Amino acid sequence: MEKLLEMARKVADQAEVFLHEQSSSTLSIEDSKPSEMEGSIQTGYALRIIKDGKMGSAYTRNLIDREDLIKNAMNSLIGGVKADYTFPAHQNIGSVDQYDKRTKELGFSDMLEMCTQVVDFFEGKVEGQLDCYAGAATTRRRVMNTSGCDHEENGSRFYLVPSLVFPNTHTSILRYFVTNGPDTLPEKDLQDILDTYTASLPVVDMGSKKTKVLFLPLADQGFQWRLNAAANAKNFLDKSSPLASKVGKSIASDMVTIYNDPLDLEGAEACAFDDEGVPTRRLDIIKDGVLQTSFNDLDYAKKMGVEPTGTGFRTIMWGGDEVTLPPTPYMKHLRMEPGEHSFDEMLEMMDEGVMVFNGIGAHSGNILNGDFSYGLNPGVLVKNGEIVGRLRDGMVAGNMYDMFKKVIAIEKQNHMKNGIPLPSVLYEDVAISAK
Amino acid sequence: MTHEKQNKILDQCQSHISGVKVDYIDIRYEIKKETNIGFDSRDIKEVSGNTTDGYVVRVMDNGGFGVSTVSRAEDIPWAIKKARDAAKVISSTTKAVMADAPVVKDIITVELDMDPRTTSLEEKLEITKKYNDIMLGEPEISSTTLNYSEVYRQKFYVNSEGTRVSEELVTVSISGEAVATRGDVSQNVRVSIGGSTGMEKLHGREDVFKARAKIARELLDAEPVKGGNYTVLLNSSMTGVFAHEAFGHFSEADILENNRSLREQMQLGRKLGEHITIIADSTMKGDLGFYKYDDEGVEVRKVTLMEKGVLKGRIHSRKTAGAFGEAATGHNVAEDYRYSPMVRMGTIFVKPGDKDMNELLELVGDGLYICDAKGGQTAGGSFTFGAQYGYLIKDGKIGPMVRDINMMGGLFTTLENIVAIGNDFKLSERGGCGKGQTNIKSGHGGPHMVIKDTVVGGV
Repeated sequence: MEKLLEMARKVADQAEVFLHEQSSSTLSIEDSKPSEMEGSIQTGYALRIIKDGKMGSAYTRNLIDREDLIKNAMNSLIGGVKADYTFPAHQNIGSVDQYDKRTKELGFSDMLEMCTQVVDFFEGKVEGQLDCYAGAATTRRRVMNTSGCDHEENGSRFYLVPSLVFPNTHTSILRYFVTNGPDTLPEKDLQDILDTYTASLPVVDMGSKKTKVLFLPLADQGFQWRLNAAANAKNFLDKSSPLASKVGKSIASDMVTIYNDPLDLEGAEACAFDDEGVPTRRLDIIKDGVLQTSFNDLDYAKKMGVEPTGTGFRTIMWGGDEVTLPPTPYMKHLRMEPGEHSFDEMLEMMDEGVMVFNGIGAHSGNILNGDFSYGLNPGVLVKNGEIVGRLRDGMVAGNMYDMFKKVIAIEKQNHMKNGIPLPSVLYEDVAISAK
Repeated sequence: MTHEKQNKILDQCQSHISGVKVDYIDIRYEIKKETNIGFDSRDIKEVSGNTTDGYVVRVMDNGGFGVSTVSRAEDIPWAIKKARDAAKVISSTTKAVMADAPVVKDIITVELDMDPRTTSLEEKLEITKKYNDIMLGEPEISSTTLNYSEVYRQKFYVNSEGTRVSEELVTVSISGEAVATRGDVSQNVRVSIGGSTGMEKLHGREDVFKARAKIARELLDAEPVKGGNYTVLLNSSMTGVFAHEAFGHFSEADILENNRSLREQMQLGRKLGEHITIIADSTMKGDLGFYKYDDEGVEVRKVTLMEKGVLKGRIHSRKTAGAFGEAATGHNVAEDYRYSPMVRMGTIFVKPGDKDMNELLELVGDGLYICDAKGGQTAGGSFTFGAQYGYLIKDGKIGPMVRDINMMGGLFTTLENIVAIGNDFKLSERGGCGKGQTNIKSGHGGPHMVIKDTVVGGV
């Protein structure tokens, strides 16, 4: 990397080299039997150069021909992509240690043993099919630039996802358990999944109506995408965001505080710098219901005349390849401040309502405008604080900003959603379409 | 690349796996060249041309199946060891069988109308800018994103049975969205042109971009649809998404293989509807989904999945074909060198029926006309997909535009609820199925189609 940076420095005013390396193993258990195991090592280098105020970029998997990589970056200058900003200098950054060497050493047989323990717990207790997914990954990320920045981080992640499938469907009650290293799942958590599954087995109908809806963290992903679009500096700048003129104004219940915090070690993929080498920090987007700010990358920070927020990441809404994607503003570490209620208290607050475990189709709809219309996967009917059964073919729909004003309770405990800790949230007066 | 050079790379692949003592091993080396140009409104955000490569190794031994992917040649020994380790662990509990496949030695060169590899970057930039400017020039369009994407894959596949295949694939597209804004309300519409036959489909398409911007603007005046049960008329884009999302994924044998209940429900010969015929066909030259060999060296063939409501076939890898005791169909496809192949449907469509548009509208009576897919997702027998816009239908006549339309259903009840199939036909120009990996060649389409008693979620 050092050699590449030196070579790039000679042909450009500024240069930046980004490294992403990931080693991973995955295991799928389907119908209580192992079905797939896969190993992978993927490495990649991305180069950005700035010359005469214009950006050039290139990437490769194998750093064999550095001259060719630089040539590709120089060729891309033809596009005239404006870059009026300076790559950041080296700064002191916080320590984010999420590397567990046990993850690196984990073999397929170890992973199978851990999954087998989960399968054994549920065996004979589940009417439908039992699936379980496990994965272990270690990552290395490094950003160097000609302003002197040289930040590097190692991380690890281990996940186990038990999934109890309802009979004659592929709909399941599943939960993500994400840690830095391989840990056995507490039996209490497994029992919780089983109890919820068992109570949700009956299929029920409720028709279309407005009712209370309890969103569990896994169902919350669609909201994250919508806020990522609406609070994005790009959409503030061109005024296409419905939030663009609302900084300092109340847009949600005063119970709602939503922030991005890459330094929070409770979640996975914590990081002390973004993919442009900017130190990360907690950034409040909505505080006590009031919109605070937009978020940016180096490019949009300069365009808006504000400080960079440490949210320039090589990703897009549905993920993507860190090596091939250019940095854009993205909040990978969105959190909601937990509230005051236990989960059981929130259930008791539902005289009648629907508990949404997961949504399908959350990526469709007018995301920027905050509109959503998800299939319930599953949606569970609750009456007088008790689960009655799961709904057949139901949808929940609304507008995220209207919903934020209808929050009546937030859980005091976080649960892991795909590596992101979030509480459950209870809303009132939400439209359910069902048979 | 000359045939001599391609044969040399195939020889190198061969040398990596020769001497490995397992029942079966294959290796796929792939070179991927991408050109990307991205506009964010008036700003050019990206212009890049890059080449990457990598390897996928698969091993089957004693009934166990293992896979490994690496991006560096020096890691190939690690990949082989890792795949063998996985196969060994799996074989302790699961015994897979690979269906037979003919030994093939072939080199396939892509046929293009206008080769993007010989088109200058300046010209690609100019055409993308032209279409972006057209959308931005329309009233109330506040922003756009528009991306030129060119993906060239050169695949080299060798297995221990003697198959050696090299195939190149080229896919180009210009796609993005136009956002119309009035006050606090924004509405967006997606746009996409392209295909697998070169640059020709990108030229002379000004009308497409102008029309999409107009729809975005009209959506500002549209009311959100009211949630409930409707009789719906799907346009060809929505019919294609129905064929792909609601039905197609359940014809992918890897989805069914280890799901007891779905496997039982999707038994061949079962009658699930009356009118509908659905076909997976990646053999149509000139179509987005066209290819010759899949990523395990099996020649792809046309598969009729459903004929007049009766399940007739499904699509397979060699491993799933072995599990079902059926023939491999050549549908085991990977996004690129980073991934092991999985069963993918390529182009899937509903065969046209006999009703014209007026007859379809009359059958609907009161309902919704739902247009242009905006993503979809399945979870077992349930599906959800969004539409970019739609219209109320009253007394068989198309009325005002509505927005925020998502429909949901169960596959089996929805197939029974199909009332009529139109006599028109259209296929998509761009794919993007995200079943674990992105398949940019997942084409779909069909005619207009009427479905009764459909759950639509409004805002």
